[in-house]
Formats: sequence, C-alpha cells, structure tokens
Amino acid sequence: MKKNIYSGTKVSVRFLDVFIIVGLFAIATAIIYLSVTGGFDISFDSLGGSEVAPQRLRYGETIEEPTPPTREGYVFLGWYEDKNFTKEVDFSSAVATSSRTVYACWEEIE
Amino acid sequence: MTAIRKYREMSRTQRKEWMRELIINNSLYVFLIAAVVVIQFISPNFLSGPSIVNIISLSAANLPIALGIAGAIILTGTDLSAGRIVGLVACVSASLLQASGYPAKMFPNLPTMNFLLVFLIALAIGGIIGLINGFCTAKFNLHPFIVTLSTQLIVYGGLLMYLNIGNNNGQSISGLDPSYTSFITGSFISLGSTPIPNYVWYSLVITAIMWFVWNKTTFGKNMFAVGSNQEAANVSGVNVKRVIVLVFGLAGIMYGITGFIEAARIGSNSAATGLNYELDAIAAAVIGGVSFVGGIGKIRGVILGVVLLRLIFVGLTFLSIDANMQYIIKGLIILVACAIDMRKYLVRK
Amino acid sequence: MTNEILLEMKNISKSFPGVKALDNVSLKVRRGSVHALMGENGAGKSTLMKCLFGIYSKDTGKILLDGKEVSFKNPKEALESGVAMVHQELNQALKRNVMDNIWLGRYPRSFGFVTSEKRMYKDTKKIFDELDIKVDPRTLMSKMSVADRQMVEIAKAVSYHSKIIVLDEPTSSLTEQEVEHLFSIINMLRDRGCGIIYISHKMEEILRISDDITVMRDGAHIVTEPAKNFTMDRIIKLMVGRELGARFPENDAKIGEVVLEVRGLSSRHNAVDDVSFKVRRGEIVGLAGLAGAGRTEVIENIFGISERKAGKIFLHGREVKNRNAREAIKNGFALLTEERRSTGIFGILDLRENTTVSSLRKYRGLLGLISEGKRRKDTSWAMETMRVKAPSQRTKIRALSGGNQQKVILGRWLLTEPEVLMLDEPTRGIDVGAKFEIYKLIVELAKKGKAVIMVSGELPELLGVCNRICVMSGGRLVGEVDAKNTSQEEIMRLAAENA
Repeated sequence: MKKNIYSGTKVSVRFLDVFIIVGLFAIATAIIYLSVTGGFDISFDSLGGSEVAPQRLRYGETIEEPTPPTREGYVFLGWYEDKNFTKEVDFSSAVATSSRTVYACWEEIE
Repeated sequence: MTAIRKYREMSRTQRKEWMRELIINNSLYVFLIAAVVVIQFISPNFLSGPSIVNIISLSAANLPIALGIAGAIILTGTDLSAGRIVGLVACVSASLLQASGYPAKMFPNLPTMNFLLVFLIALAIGGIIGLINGFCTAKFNLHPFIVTLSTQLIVYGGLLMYLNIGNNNGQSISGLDPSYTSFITGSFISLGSTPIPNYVWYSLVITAIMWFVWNKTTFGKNMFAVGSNQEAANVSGVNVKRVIVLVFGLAGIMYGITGFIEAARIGSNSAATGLNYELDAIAAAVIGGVSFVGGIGKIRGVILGVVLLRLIFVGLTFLSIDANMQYIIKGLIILVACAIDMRKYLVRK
Repeated sequence: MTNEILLEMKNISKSFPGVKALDNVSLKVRRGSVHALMGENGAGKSTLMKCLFGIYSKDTGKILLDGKEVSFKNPKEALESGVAMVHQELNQALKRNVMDNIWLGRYPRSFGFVTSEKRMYKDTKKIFDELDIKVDPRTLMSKMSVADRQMVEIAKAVSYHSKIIVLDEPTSSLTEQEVEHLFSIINMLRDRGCGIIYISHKMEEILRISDDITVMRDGAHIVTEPAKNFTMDRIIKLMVGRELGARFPENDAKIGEVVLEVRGLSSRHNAVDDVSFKVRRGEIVGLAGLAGAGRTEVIENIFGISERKAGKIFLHGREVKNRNAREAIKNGFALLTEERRSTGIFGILDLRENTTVSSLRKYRGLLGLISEGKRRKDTSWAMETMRVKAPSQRTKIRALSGGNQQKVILGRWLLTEPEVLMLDEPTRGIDVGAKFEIYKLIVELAKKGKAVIMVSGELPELLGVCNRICVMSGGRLVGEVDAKNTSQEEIMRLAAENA
C-alpha cells in the first residue's frame, strides 16, 4: 500500500487487539471513578465582598442560596449568572448541571 | 445478498476470523451504546424529551465543522485551524448583528444588517481562510498540519485584534439582534413541550448537500481518489492541486456556517469561542470511520460519530463528571478509535 | 549427498484475498545437496520461501527440519534454528564493517557487556579462511563489491551453523570469476552436509550446480527430479506450461500512417538525451534497455508528468505540449505506469471508481451531478473488453490478482479513448497465464488502430509482441531494430554499449 501515516509502524495486530480491549476497560474504569468522585463546583464570586464558600453538588441537586455576603459601603442586590448582570439566579429552580461561577451584584450606598 | 453468500462460502476458520474482525472493529460503538444504556438506567432523565432535543441540537451544531474537517482527513491531512476560524466568524457575525439599542454595542452606529448578508460574509471569511490553507498545502507541498497550525495562530491573533476595535475592548460580544437569534435558535416544531431549534434543520440541509458533493460530483470522486493515492490520481488526469485547494476551501465554508450558527446559539462570543472545536470534530470523524489512511469516509459515519460523541458527553454530565474531567474520557476514546483505525489498516496489509 | 531429508515442506497452501499463491506445494531437500527452485515470476517461489521463514503465515501444511516440525515466526528465529537466507537485495548495515554485520545481535563479549573486538576478528577470520574468502574483517561494507558482500552474507549464514541456506538469484551481479568462487563455496558447504536451496533464472548454472530441480508454476508444484533428468528446453516448457512458440499471440495488425513523432526529446540531468522516433497507427513499438537507460523517463516526458528540457511532440503532424497529465489525456495519450501498486491503482476504492476516474467528465448530467447509470455501463464494457475476472463492479480492486488489476487500469485508459497508448512494464509481477491475456489485449488494441509504445525489461516479451524495438542506453536512442529480424543478443549488445 502507498505511504501513509501508518506506513512503517512496527506494531502487530495482536498488540492492537489487546490495546483496544485494555483501552475500553480504561474508559469504563475512568467513567466509573470520575462519576463516583465527581461533582460540579458552583463558585460564588463576591467581587469585593466577604467570601462565600463554593458548593460541590451532584448533577440535578438544587443550589442552596448562601447567606448574602457583606461589603463595606455597598448593598447586596443579588447573584447573577454573568458579569454584565443580565440574568439573575433564581434559587427556587437553580439546579447543578455544570461547574460555574455566579457573581455578586453590588450597589453603592450614597 | 452477496454478504450472505460470502458467509456461506467461508470455511470455519474464516468465519471465526470474520466474527472477530466484526466484533473488534465495532467494539467502540457497542461500548458507547452500552454506556448510554447504563447511564439511562442510572439517571432516567438522560433520554427524556428535553434532554434528547438538547443532544440532537448539540449534534446538529457540531455537524458542519465535522463534515468540513472530514474532507481534510480524507485527503490524508488535518485542519487545526477549524476551531479558531469558527471563533472568528462567530465574533464577526455577532458584532455585525447586535441589537440596535444594546448599550455595549461594538459598532454603535451600525444599522441593523440583513443577516443573510452577514451569512455571506461568514461564508466568505471561512472560505477564504480555507482556500489559503489549501493553497499553501498544494502549492508548496507543505503538510496540512504545519499550514493549519500557523493559520490557527494567525486567525486567533486576528480575532484578538478584532475584539478590540469599535466600542468593544476585548469583552465578549452579546446582546444580539432578536430576529437573528430567533432565526437560528427559534423554532416552529416542538417535540412534546421542548422546542426544536431551527438550526437543526439548517444543519440537516447542509449535511444532505455535502452528501451530494461527496458522492455525486466529480469533485467528490476526485477528493477520494487524491486521498486514496495522490500520485495515481495525478497520472490519471486529476488536477490534484485544485482538488486540495477546493477541499480546504469547502471545509472553510463549513466552519463559516458553524460560526454563524454558534454566534446565535451561544449568545455571548469572545476570543475563547471555538477553542479546541477541531478536536471534537476530528474525534467524531475518526469514530465515524473516516480513516487517517486517506480516501475512506462516509457521511453517515460522520453523523454517527458526532451523535455518539454528544450522547456520551451529555451522559457524563448526568453522572456529575464536570467538563474538565471529561477531557480524560475524550482522550481515551480518541485513542481507542485511532487504534481501531490503525488495526483496520494493518489487517489489510 | 545422502537420501536423508534435511528439510521437508509438506502440502503448503497460502491464499491472499482473491489469489491462491500456493496450492498444496511440497519440497524435500536432501542433506548435502543443492536443490534448485525454478519458476516464472509469480510462480510462487518467493512466497514458498516467505512461508518457510515466517514472513507469511501458511494456511495449511507442515515444515519439518531434521524430522522435527518447526514453524518460524520470523527470519531471526529461522536463522537461530539453522535456516538462513541470502537475499537478492542484501540487507546489510553498509556503514559498519564486516565483523559487525556478521555478529550483529550476538557480539562476543568479555566481562559480560563489553564487546570483544579481538574475538570477533578471530572468529570471523576463521570462517573466512575455511571458505577461502580473502576479505579483511575490518573492511567497511560500503567499500566492498557486491560479490564480496554476498560472500559476507554467506559467511554469516555459516557462522550460525546453518543447515539450510537459501540463495536468491546469487549470481545476478557477479562476474564469471566470482561465480566460480561462489560455486566452490557452495560445493564446500554441500560436502559439509548443508542443504542449499538455489533460486535462479540462469539455466546453465542450474544444470551445472544442482543435484535436484523443482519446477513451480502458477503456485503449484509441477515436478521434482534429479538434475540429470532435465534439459533446458524441458525446464522452460515446464515453467511456461505450453510450447515456447505459443507464448505470444499473433500480431497481424495493419500498420498505417505515422501517428506520433517525437523529436529531440531531452529531460533534466540527461536522463533522456535527444531522443527521436516515430510510431505508426496499429504499430507496437518496444522500448528496450538496461535499468537506468531512460525508457520510463521517455514516456513520462511524452505524457507530461516529467519535466521536459527540450524537444517536440507531434500528434498527426500537429504539435502538442502535454504540459501535465490532464493535457496529455485530453490530447489522446495514455500512460500505464510501471508500479501499479504505488501509482496506478486506488487500492481502497472499488472497480467502478478505478475504471472511471480518468473520464469522470463524461458522466456529468443534471446540475453537474454524476449519473451512475452511464458509469456502470462504461465500467461493464471496460471489464468485458479487458476480460477482468471479478465478482462485481463494487469489489475493491485490491482483492484482485495483479493481472486483473492491470487489466482494470488498461480498461481505465481505454475509456479515455486515446490514440497513443504507452505501457510501462505491463506484465511485471503477473503470472504467466495472465501475461498471455494481456499480450492478446495489447495486440487487439493495435488492431483497433492505436499506436502502442511498450517499455519492458523482458526481451522475449518485446521480441514476441512488438513490431519494432527501439533500444536505449544512457538516455540516448542507440538503435532501432525490426523485432522479427533481430535477437536477444543484438539488443543486449546495443543496450550495453554506452551503459
């Protein structure tokens, strides 16, 4: 056969058979292990306020609304999905489906 | 029919061989489907209505880029610039189609543009970069790995610069024009209570067109001939250089389509858009039977690869495995898929 | 020489997809004898040897060495068990010296891991003296003649205490003196009790040196008898399977006007140097010469896949440029390349794709899409005309035998409707039966009015099929002879003149 990316490989078919089977086992093991030890990290970035602990949840678990953070001279408005504060987090329905960060929105006290 | 006749004519040892080949070559598919079944058992919401629509939608979004890259792989090459091109096209499209009242609009004085026009711009950007990839590969006889590696970095740089112009200072581009977003992500058909986004249909149309290109045009036949044996193709009168340029150009157009859809689908585009998209695309192609040896590949294989890959990764999410850990599984799957590909080649020798 | 059997290969069969390479072949080599293995290219000689050395795994059959059954997984295992091969193309480490090559992999050591050069030298010298080889073990391989390197290879086999030594075309690059030396070594090994398997096409040598001769044909064992029962004619007849005269079809094509004229063709580096000739309609012109004389380069230049430095090509009196393959095909030229596996077939694709690849534009219908119906018809026509034996159009071409693959490619070129057909070694690596069919096809094409140029290294083939033969040497055209009135010797003389 003409030269291609596999030309000159000195690997036997038997080796690949074993490799494939071992590989599939490795994938199964990895999935089981990562699933058991897995979880999503929901981080709360208070953007200058007091620290809020992140929550580690399994898929589908509801995200608990944490105690609101405090910040000198600011009033806490709520948690938002993005830094532009376009979507507020609704804790009555918020469910962990991936690791993410939510941001605290502050308003300066006059 | 002939398959049945061939089976009957085989001797006992040949049948054992044939069985063994069949099992090993399809072992990955069987494994992934088994995993899907198990996950469904553990987490019954996995294959529920909304979830399936989600999986189909994600697959549809990833189909065009996989089809484009499959062409490059059939030519015994690769295309590392795919992801960044998608990112560039997505950001450019998004920047030209932001809602008119949006406060952080990149080009504040830009009137609402016709999104068909922007679509053509998207195709043009993808296509031109693709043609450049193809031209450098064909004319200077460079390996596509090197060419597209350079293109990848240059496009990324270009994207970073683009994000700084206008009123945008490197932020992500969002606040898109609602008519654009509804064109892409709106829907007119629902599965039960979950709407099926429009881009699923667009993706299917694109796939059908690619099927015609691959199987029913001279260009498609030439692509497979060049991928199978470039020298023989040259002697047989095929314009090898032109085929290479056009295959990469077509791939670029597919990346453009992907970018145009992504921009609306994600909603918020930044320099990170498109990062590593080509890895998923290449993985899907290889799992679907497109071989690194060249000259081998089927549209239905690419579709299968894309869908299987999405199924697994949504499934892993249901198992609480977060995105970073999923890379490990992804890597292992690609390794096994490549081993199967290599094995098919070695058995033939 | 005894009647004791040293090596026996029993009922060996080996199949590849679509081809039965060995069909129930048996071979018995006596202790202390020289056993010649003869057969045309593709008869199965090298396949049989590859099964012996474990390069191929046999489908059925047994191999017995000294009465014990063996099954070597690779040549290294075979060598360590006393079965050695001296290849035609020597696999040697040219940048190392003689000693290193002989003791590669089993260097004599002192203190466990330091290689002892003194011991290597002594051991090597001992073997060389035994075999009367006058070479200094410290000489660099690259500085030695092919004959001496072959001697080293044989010495290496002896150093492994080989009981069976296979010599593959050992005298193809040796002078008469060197052949004598080789024969004296062979005699020495024979007296020592070794079994020598001697593979060669040179019949005078075979009749001189062998004790037994086995003839193979088309993958099957035909006959094994003591050498004294054979004459040259009998061997040829057994190898070819039919009377020598009927090896080639009758060529009664009518020859018409000049179709192709080549004037002053020259390529870079003088691979082709000022070559001019004419080819007429219905004529088959052979291109003969030694390897490197420029035959392939000439037709590659005419076809446009090699760069031309100077010269003009005229088709029916009109100049054509043929700057690349596409133009050449449009102008009515076709080129069947020398290596069909690397530049001819698309191994992964099926017969329909392989046949129609050069003429795809004929099948464009609505919207430029390809219509399968016409493609299928044309492929059927090509397969019928070329008498390709295959289950269907969808069969992958790599499942076909070499001969059938070649016919498919010929069919591909026919579909482009060429006027000038250029064939480079059209029957190389093809079994004798298929060769005859291809000769018939070539003659039929000439009868249909094509102008044919045929490059070949097999002089009998050129003499049997062509009308005229142009002889090349060192890039130049040194002679033109009429095929019916010339001989192999005359052509060889012309070819060797300026080599």
